[in-house]
Amino acid sequence: MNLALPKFILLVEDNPDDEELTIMALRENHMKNEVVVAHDGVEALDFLFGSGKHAGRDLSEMPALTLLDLKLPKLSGLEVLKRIRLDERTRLLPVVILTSSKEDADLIAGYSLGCNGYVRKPVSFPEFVEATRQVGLYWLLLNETPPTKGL
Amino acid sequence: MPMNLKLSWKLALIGISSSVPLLCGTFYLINKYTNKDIRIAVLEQYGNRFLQPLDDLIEHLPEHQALEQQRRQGDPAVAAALAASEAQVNRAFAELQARTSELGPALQYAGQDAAQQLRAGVQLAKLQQAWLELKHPSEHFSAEDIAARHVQLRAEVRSLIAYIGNTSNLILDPELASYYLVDAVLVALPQTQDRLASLLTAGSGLLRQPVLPAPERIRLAGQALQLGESDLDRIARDVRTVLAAETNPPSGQADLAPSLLSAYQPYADATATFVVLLKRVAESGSPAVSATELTEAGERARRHSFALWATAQRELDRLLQRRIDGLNQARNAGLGLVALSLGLAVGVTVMVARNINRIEQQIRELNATLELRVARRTIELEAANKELESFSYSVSHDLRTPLRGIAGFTEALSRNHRSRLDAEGGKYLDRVLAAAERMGHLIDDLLNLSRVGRADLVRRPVDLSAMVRSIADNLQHTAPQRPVEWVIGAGITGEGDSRLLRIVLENLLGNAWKFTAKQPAARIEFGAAPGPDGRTACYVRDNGAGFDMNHAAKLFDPFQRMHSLNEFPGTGIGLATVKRIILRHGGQVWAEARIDAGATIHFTLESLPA
Repeated sequence: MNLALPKFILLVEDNPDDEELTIMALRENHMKNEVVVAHDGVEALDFLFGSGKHAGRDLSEMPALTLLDLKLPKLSGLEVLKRIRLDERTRLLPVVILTSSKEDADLIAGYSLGCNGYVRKPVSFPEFVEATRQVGLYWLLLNETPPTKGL
Repeated sequence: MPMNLKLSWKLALIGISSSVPLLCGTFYLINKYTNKDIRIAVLEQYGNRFLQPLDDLIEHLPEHQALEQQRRQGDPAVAAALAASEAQVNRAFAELQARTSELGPALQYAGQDAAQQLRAGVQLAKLQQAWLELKHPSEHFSAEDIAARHVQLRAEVRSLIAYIGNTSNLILDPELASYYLVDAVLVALPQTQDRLASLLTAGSGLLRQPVLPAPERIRLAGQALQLGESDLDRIARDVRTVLAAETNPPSGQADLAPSLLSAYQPYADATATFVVLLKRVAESGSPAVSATELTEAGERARRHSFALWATAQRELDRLLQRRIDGLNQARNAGLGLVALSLGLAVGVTVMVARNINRIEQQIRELNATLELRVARRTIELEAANKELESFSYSVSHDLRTPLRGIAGFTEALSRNHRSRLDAEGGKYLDRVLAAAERMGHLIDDLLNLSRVGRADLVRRPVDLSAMVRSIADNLQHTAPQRPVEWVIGAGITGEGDSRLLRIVLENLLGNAWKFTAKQPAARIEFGAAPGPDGRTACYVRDNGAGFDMNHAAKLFDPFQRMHSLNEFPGTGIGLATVKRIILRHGGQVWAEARIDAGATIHFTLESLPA
């Protein structure tokens, strides 16, 4: 048990506007959790597995929630999700896809690869705030994350 | 018919197999009917040839009778002549026997009566028996006996002649010339020959008497009358008719007039002379005419009658032969024509078949290239479709992202920094927000429209009434306070993609809901009724704002709106989406409306019951 670990959010988002709007929406909902931002798919995986520029990171600290955009440079969001689910260390990590797309193909691919939720970013900011609130409420407050260490 | 045959050869087989029986039928009929006519003519010919020995008997029997009488009267000089005459008669009988066995069976079949058939043989046997008795007559026979037997025998011969004429159909001859020749050969000449024989055998005895008794004179006058006016006139008429009918013999045919005339004229002259002498004897009652003179005249008439008979019989044979040849030619021409038609039919069929073969080949080649073209087009279409998909993905993702930036930051500006703007600045921010939100809806609707075109159609029976009820409940739920009267027809079903049909009904009912917003007693109706083409059409009717029918043509085009945004919100894509879905279902959609009097949108589905 490590109660001292803060519940932080990994936001995988290449668009700085969306990045800021998401953080604004979180703040709007009074969620004070730290938000780590990865700007492309490779960076997201580097952070999660302690490689690249995140080499040597303490891997016992895993995000309580990963908000994953689908359209990302270098490695797509779906590819990132696949790697997360394939790795023993991140297999159970809560991942919510947060994207502009509501293509059926993306939805089906996302759930097939094991995302925990799929939220389409609304154009209207108040709606976005509401969506963020519900996602944050559920995953950061209500939901119990699985133990990060093996049983 | 084997199925692996080419179409063209199948057609050829059909052509040949249908024309061949037809032509064979024609062939058969031509053959049958001309053959029948030929058969009749041939039988007539047989009959005519049969007559020769019979007429020979009529010629030679009286000669034998006369010689036999002379022998009895003790004239030894006649022995040689008698033997010669006997040989002639024997030859005639032998000839008759030969004809009977040669032609008899054929003629017997032509006769219809079995009893008649028997008679030919019976008659011949009877003739032969009678001749056997007369050849070397018993010494007990009186001269009168023998004469009577001769008369009887000649009568039998003539009856056999008539019988042959009957069984060979000679007496039914269909042509004028040959018919009258038949009359001469079959009846008139044998009759006069018989009469002459009787006259001559009796006459020579009569003239030895110094004075003729009255009954004899009357009988002689009668005979002369019959010989002249009955026989000669009849034969003259026969010959005249034949010659008249034969004035224009078929080209290339020998004219029978000269031979017939040259045989007739001496006969007519000799007979006329004999008749004059007979009359003179009958009138005077005394032998004003010497017996020799009278006998010679009679003999001359008799001789010429046989010459005429021979000529007439030969000419009749020639006429019959001519008819047979003509019929044969006609038949051969007919059969040749049929064979030619058959060849032509086969030739044409084969030609047509080849032609079809070539056309088939061309079609096959065209088909092959068509498949190629279709394949190429399909690839192009698939590429275009992929492009469209990536386009809509971009629209969905890339276009919305900056829009969200605009909306989000404007919102942030409005919330957090509004105090630093004047009232007008604040309003502008609101306008930006409203515009961004509207653009968001436009993008979403456009995406829906493109998705409707791309989605696979899954046809299943759909309970449209239930679907309408559920949509109505949802709409009512968004504004429970709105008093709307829903009239939903029960049990309306259709076959189609339930997801897409739901989009249709959502759009139509959503519009109705929207355009009745200002109507205090709103009424929205869903039902089904026969459309103009008789097929069942569903409709959604409202009593809302309606629209001007002058613009109805554009109603189903994307981005076409009938009302200003201030009046009713909307993107103008809903009805375009509806139309696209209905068309994909093979149906039709149309509208009727009046300003402020509501609108009705009708639609059919391919599979809606008629």
